[in-house]
Amino acid sequence: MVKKSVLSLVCASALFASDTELEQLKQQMMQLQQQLSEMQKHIQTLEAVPAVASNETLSDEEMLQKMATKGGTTVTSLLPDIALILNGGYTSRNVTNTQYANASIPGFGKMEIQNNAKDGFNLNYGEVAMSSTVDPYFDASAIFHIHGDGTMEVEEAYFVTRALDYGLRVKAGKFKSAFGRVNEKHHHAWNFEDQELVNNVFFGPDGLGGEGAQLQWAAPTPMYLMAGFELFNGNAKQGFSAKESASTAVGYLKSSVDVGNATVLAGLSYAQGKSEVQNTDGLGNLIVDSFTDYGQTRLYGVDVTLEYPLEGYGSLIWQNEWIQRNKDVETMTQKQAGYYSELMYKIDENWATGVRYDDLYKNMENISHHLNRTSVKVDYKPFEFSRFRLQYNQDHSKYIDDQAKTIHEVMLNYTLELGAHGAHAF
Amino acid sequence: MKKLLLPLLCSLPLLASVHVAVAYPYIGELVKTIAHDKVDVSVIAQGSSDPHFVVPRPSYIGMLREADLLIVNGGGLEIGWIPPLQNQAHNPKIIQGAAGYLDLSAYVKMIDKPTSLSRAQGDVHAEGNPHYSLDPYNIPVLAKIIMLKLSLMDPANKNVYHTNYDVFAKQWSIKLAQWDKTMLPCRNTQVIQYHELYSYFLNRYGIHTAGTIEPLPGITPSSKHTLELINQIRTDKIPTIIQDDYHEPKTAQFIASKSGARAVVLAHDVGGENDTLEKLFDSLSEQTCKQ
Repeated sequence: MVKKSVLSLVCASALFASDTELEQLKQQMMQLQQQLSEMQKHIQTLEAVPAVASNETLSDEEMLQKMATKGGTTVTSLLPDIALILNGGYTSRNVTNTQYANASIPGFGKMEIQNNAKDGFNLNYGEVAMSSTVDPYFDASAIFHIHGDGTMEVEEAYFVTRALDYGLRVKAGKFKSAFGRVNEKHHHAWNFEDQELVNNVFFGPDGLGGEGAQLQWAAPTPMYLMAGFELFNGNAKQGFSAKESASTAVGYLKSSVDVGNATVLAGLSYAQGKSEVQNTDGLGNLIVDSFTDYGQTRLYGVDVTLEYPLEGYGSLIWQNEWIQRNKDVETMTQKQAGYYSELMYKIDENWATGVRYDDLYKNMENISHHLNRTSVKVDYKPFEFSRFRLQYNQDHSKYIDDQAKTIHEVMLNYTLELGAHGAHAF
Repeated sequence: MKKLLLPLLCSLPLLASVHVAVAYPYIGELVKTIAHDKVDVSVIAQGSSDPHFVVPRPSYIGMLREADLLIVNGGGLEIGWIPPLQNQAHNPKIIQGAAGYLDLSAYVKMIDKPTSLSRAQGDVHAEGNPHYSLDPYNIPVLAKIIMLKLSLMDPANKNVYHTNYDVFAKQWSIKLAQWDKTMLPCRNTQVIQYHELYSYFLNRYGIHTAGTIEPLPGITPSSKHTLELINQIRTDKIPTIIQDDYHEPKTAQFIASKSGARAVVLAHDVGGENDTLEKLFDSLSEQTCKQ
């Protein structure tokens, strides 16, 4: 319609118009045609989308039916969550692999090394973790640790109750104790690439735990208050006697309060068990298999963590833990203690950095200086499921060939999480 | 024995009100709208924080320990922080599958459900885009679910919940008409979002998301992708960049300054100045479709 009238207008005017006027008219016509096609396009798109997209909703009956059947969950799979966690990296040290493997800490003896043992490349482990709800009453998890050398261990395999009343929960199987702040955490969730020194010397690389049972109680208070009791088989690596069954008992109390934006988390832990009294050599190292009698080992732990959230994804975390062990040896009770203090600064989603100071003291009378270690690290996370960590340690805790030796080590490690892995607690 | 016990229990008057814990402030607002003072509500997350990455604090366990009902957004949004809290609250009433666990996502239609699932695509939600609460037309649906659930759990106050719901639904439909009007001039325009957080809101009003500032869901912006966006905005004359209130705003501002588009920061949940659901959608519509 518009087109036709424009055309006829052009034709009519052409009869008595000069050449320049004709040119102007032609241009106007072109513009009009362009505007027209744009308008038509706009009308088409407007017609394609209804004024407001329709809203398909369930009827009241359908909603009620859904509530009655499943409590409104969207769980669609009966398969357990399966995850694979890979850790490895490159390490450089100022001592040889043999020297490092034979290094000892006075009062504790030779160290068992699990990760980054070699100068150069290390594949530390592939961890296979599976977890699922068993039935209305139980959840279960199993974590298998496959080391770079092909050896495999059952890191944890346990079930927990889902349906107990009064804030109670029972856990049984093989699991890590909730003693202190870091013991329960798995390697890939640690703040640093290696274990805190005090945990390492008292409990070994796998931490306190093993085959046992746990009863945990969440107090019915608005404030977080958690109490737990655990019983484990004795384990020599953890300083207890393996000869007596279910001899290690652990108790703990954890609480937390929010102060403004900051969170304070604190815990008290206690462990007690039978241990074998052994003779010690001149350096205070136990002489293996020199069993004389049963004694008691008691451990006391205190931990305090302060967490302060910063703008965006950043946060500051100051974590501290102190543990003392009183262990019967020969004719006396050997008292050993240590602590660590670590400050982590999470900058954003991708970057984090941290420093840590480890110290063992009250150890041996013939060693005047503190056995300590200082660590710094930088984490880079390209994404939620991958992490690269560069860490430097200056380690004054080790003796090589009965001589104090400062070990410098630089580690660059990767940690990758594949598959479905449950979220970690704070 | 059981037969004797049941009527005895039922005849007991309901002593305390229902204790409700909710994941996000918008759910808290809905519960308060439906129940007024008949229940008490504790809201876990803050409206200004990233709904995907709420830092689980031990104090939140106290909220769950005594709750009769836990209402979550669902759709995988809380997967990183609600399960550890549930695990430690030791409260069988609110664990997944229990009567006191209400996943709202089960009752609404989700969009952008991925056809293939790989983390090479970033942080994709298998169930679809979980940010459905930003469609104002979904709000009365959510209110109804909560009304029905509370009526089941607390039948004594059923009439109160129904009346409150009816009043709310009526008021909300007036607001919906208002927002339809505000948003009408922006139909068939294009926007750039940071994350596909406002997709339900934009879809509702016929606004097309032409791109996201994050190259893939959950991945921080890269310079290559940012430059591509600037070119895209220039060629396609995209007028608006929508930025949420928890990601860094620098990239959006940079793109805006280089491309001439307008960068707006939008709230995504109830909180701060937008202390009611109405105010939240008022601000969303006014700021997205500024004339």
